[in-house]
Amino acid sequence: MKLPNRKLLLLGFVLTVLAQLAIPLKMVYDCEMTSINGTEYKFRTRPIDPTDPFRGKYITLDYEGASVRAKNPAWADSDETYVYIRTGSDGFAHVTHLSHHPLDIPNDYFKAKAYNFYEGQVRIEFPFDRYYMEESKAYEAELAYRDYNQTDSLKKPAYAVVAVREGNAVLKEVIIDGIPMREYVLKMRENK
Amino acid sequence: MKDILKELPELVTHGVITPATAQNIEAYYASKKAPECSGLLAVFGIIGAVLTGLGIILIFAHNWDTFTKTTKTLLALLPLIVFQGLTAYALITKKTARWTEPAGVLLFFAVGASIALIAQVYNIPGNLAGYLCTWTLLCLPLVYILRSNALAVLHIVFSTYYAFETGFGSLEKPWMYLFFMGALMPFYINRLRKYPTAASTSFLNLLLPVSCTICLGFFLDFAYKFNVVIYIAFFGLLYSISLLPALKRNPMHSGSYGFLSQLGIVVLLLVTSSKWFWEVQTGNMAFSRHTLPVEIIFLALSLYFALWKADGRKRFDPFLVAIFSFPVIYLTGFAAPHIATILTNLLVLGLGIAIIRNAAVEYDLRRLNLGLLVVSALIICRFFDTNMSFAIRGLMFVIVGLGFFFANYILIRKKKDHEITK
Repeated sequence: MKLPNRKLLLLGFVLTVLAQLAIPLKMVYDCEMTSINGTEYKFRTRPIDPTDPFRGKYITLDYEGASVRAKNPAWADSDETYVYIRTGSDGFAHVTHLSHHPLDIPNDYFKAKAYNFYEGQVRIEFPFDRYYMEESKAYEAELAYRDYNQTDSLKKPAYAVVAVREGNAVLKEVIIDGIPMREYVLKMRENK
Repeated sequence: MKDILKELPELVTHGVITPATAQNIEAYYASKKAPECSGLLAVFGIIGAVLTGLGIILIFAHNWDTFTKTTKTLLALLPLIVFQGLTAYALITKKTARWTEPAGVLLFFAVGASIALIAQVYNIPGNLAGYLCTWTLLCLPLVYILRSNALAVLHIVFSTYYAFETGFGSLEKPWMYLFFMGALMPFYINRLRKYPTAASTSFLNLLLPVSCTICLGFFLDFAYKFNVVIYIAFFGLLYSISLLPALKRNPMHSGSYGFLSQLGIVVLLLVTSSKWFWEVQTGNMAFSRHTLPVEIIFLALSLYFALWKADGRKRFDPFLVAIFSFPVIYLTGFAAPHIATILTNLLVLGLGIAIIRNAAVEYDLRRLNLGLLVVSALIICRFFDTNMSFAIRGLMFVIVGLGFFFANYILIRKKKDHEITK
């Protein structure tokens, strides 16, 4: 095999470098646009704590509204589903429509994966189910949430604040007892 | 070498050698200089770069709460830009492998770290397999641009990791793995041709078939027994590759392919020689229509490579016989599992005896013991699923043990006699 000449190698290197920069920058751009210009919604959630070997500790958010009524079993195993939402009278986001293609309605939407059709309900994998935390806080957050959930006197539900814009969704914060989860963990530490 | 080169001007001045000879000596040593990183320094450089790169990823994975989102984003891009600059410097100033290898490795990990940190800052979900796939893809061109062995190794390791994350216990197939391996082939073949004796080439020779052996399973259906047939054909392919003239000329090359394939074939044949493999599945023989073409391709390629042997080895090859007769035995198993069991046992026994016979002809002690090991393993396996008295079992063990001693003794004597008569 004849190896490419030097100019081609340098050109290849420049293109590789640009691609390596473009991917993270595109991620930043998409998320920033959605965070700044998107509409904020609150989703009721329950957190648990797993680990990613490269991206660190995070809590997985299990959304209450992720099971949606659907008549057609064909919804299961749909990789690209348009999930339309609006804020209900309780102040939280609710799924109003599911579609395989964009609909001409004013509601905001995000793209997600649908799976597991069971007893007239389909599960939606919300594309904002990971909330990364400082490694010492993720497990504490899970414990704090468990304790919080078991205390009857506390009424405020835990929820995630998500910005939604043109099919993209960015998880901005997880709120427990009216304050961000990070602050809640610190408050719990102080109270110990 | 440096001393000789220093002496050259003096030798020319005193007329011991002509200026042309001096130039020839210089050119000779310049060409002899290893074009790849062979020095300890380069190896330590690569190890250092791998550790530093992993360290950066782990430091980022901690997720520093005290930093703002902007700071974290800039921090994510900083190592990427720094190591891109370092690599560009090494490339432009035509630095040796001692520079380009560690620089490439650092850049490899900086790419992974930057995507990971951005995902962390913006809570972007995405599974691990997708992340590994993007990372590996973004660094693939660097293998060719920097002609880096270390990056080729990382490419194979991360492609395997991606395939594992995608395919393990899942119906999803890691298709990108095929692309990753295919994309590395020109680099690998080039290494085999240009640097056949390099340690790094031998390492690739080991890593590549091991990776393929692991990842083949992720492409197969849940038809476990038929998958054994496919794996035997796959090891057959590796075996016939080890016979290719390009690899066979150098035992260091064919070694990993030959060893892995022979081990795989023997172990799988021993597994299938047991009664339960055939009889538990009576009336329910596993068969996968999707993977049948894979089996046919493996066998066809094995046949092609085996016939392509350039060294003109005409001797009967027991492994090739085992590879091509096993699918026939498997088909027999559909109609008569008992016969398939007997045939597999005969096949393993025949394989062992044929290896011993070939070893005796070639005076090859290593192969003699391999053959004896195959026969002994078969006998030991049968002890577990047949009802024999302990006395007979004990006697069989003694006979096999003595067989080892005698066979080795006879071969050593024959070898000595052969050398004397020569």
